[in-house]
Order: sequence, then C-alpha cells, then structure tokens
Amino acid sequence: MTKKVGFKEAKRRAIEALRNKTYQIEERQEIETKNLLYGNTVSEEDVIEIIIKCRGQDHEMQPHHMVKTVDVHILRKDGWYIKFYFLDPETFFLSVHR
Amino acid sequence: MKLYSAGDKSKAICETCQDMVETTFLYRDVPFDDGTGKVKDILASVCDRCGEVVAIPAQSLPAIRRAREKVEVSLEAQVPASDIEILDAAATRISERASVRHRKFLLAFYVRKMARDPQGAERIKQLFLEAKAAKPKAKVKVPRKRLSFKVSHDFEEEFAAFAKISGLKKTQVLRGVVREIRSDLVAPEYPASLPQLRELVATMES
Repeated sequence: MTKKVGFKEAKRRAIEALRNKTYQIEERQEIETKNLLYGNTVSEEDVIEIIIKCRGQDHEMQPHHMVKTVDVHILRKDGWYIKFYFLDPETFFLSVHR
Repeated sequence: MKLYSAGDKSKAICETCQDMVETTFLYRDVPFDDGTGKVKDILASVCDRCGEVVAIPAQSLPAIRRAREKVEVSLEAQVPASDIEILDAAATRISERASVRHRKFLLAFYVRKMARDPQGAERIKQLFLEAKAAKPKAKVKVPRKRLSFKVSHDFEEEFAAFAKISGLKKTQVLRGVVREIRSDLVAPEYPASLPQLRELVATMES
C-alpha cells in the first residue's frame, strides 16, 4: 500500500529525488533507450526545470497498470511527458520522453 | 546523494511477476532495448522472486551514458562546397589546430542550441530558405561535397527529432545550421559566442 500523494507533494518529491539522485528507473529487463534520463542530451537539472514549470492542469494520476494500489503521476508540459510513482521511500521514474 | 551497495534491499514493481516485490541490488549486464549492445556490470535492482532486473538506480546512469556514447552512427549529407568552407572558417576561429572534428563540434553545438530553443524550429526553416536562396554572384556551378560524421546515438536522435518538428530533411537542417554558424561566428568581427566556444574547445583538448 502506498500513501496517497497529491500534485504538489508529488512534484516536490520528484524534484528532490532528481536533485539528490536518489531515484530509480523502472525497467523490464532492458534499458529503455527512449527514456531521456539514460542519454546525454537531457540532464536531471533539465527535467527539474520542466517539473518546476508544471501546474495542476499539467498533472494527471492513474493507477499503475500492474499494481493498482500504486498511483502513477503523469506530467505533460511543453511537449514533455514525465511519469513517476513512489514506493516509500523510493521514487521511480517510468518515462522521461519528449 | 544516496549510494546503494551490492546486497542492499529495496522494492520495486516486477513486470515478470506482475507484482510489487522485494529486490536486492546486484551487479548485472543490462542490454539496451534497441539491440545496440549492453552495459556491463552495473548495479541494478533485481527481483528476489524471479531474478530479473526490475529497476536501475540513478548511480548507474553515468555508466549507462558512457556506454551509450560509444554507440556511434553515421550522419551524412551532400552540401554545397561553400557550406564546407563556412564550417572550416568557423573551425579556424575556435581553434588554432582546426581539423575535421571541429566541424562536427560546431554542428553539434549549434544543433543542440537550436533544438532546445522554443523558436528553434521556425528559425531553422527560415535559415534553410535563406541558404537555399543564396546564389553565387556569377553564374558558376558550386560543386557539392560530402559531409560525414560519426555521432552518438543520442545526438542522432535529437537531430532527427529536431528535423521532424521543423518539417525539414536532415540535409536541410544541416544547411540551416551552417547558415546560423555563418551569421553567428564567421561574419561578425567579434562574435559574441566566440569566447564560450574557444573555452569549450580548449577544455576538450586539454
């Protein structure tokens, strides 16, 4: 069971995890090369800047497709698509795409 | 920054087990999903039930990025010889030891700069049209020459995405970028970008 986290708290925790490099990336046995966090073209700072710009209307929450009790937070801003969730105390990024 | 060590415990969602699982951090070889190879011996979060890699901690990303850099692809284009001359002129401004790799550095620098600019797509279209309209003063035929670079997979993807949103072909983007280099770095007597570019090149060459 994971604690319900609203937009503001989700934003704060995602930024903190990126800033402190305490996040993990969910994988399916392989490195998903489309996730821009794996490349050299986008840094954690770039992703933080996008998240900072996000407002409530850029945020959506959906249950994780495998574990319905986990809320996946989705941010869409300026063509960016960022998806993450929390398994306390960890922050997992599913996607950072453009 | 929190660093995990081999043997540390965590949890994750496992695709194979379709469940939230306990995991252990272990060193594993993890392949890229596009078949371009694998990263050897990185710390990964491994499912305690099925033994599959289920997550990658941030501390393993620099190793993945280095492995990704080594995957190189060719970027090729046929451009007017005058474009090559512009690139070479710009290269001699940024380094006393200008060589072919400085051409690549300049193109990469300007492509990335423009790709990140919200107005970049519109600007590159305009620049390409200017490049296309520029004719030699006399009616002479300007030969076309081949530009060829080995670039990282990431750069190629960023370049292709920029071409797509601009609605241009890759060669057209390159021609627009050369036009930008001409007006930003070659034409001005004291280009504003020059100190930064010289500094970058000097750092890379040190």
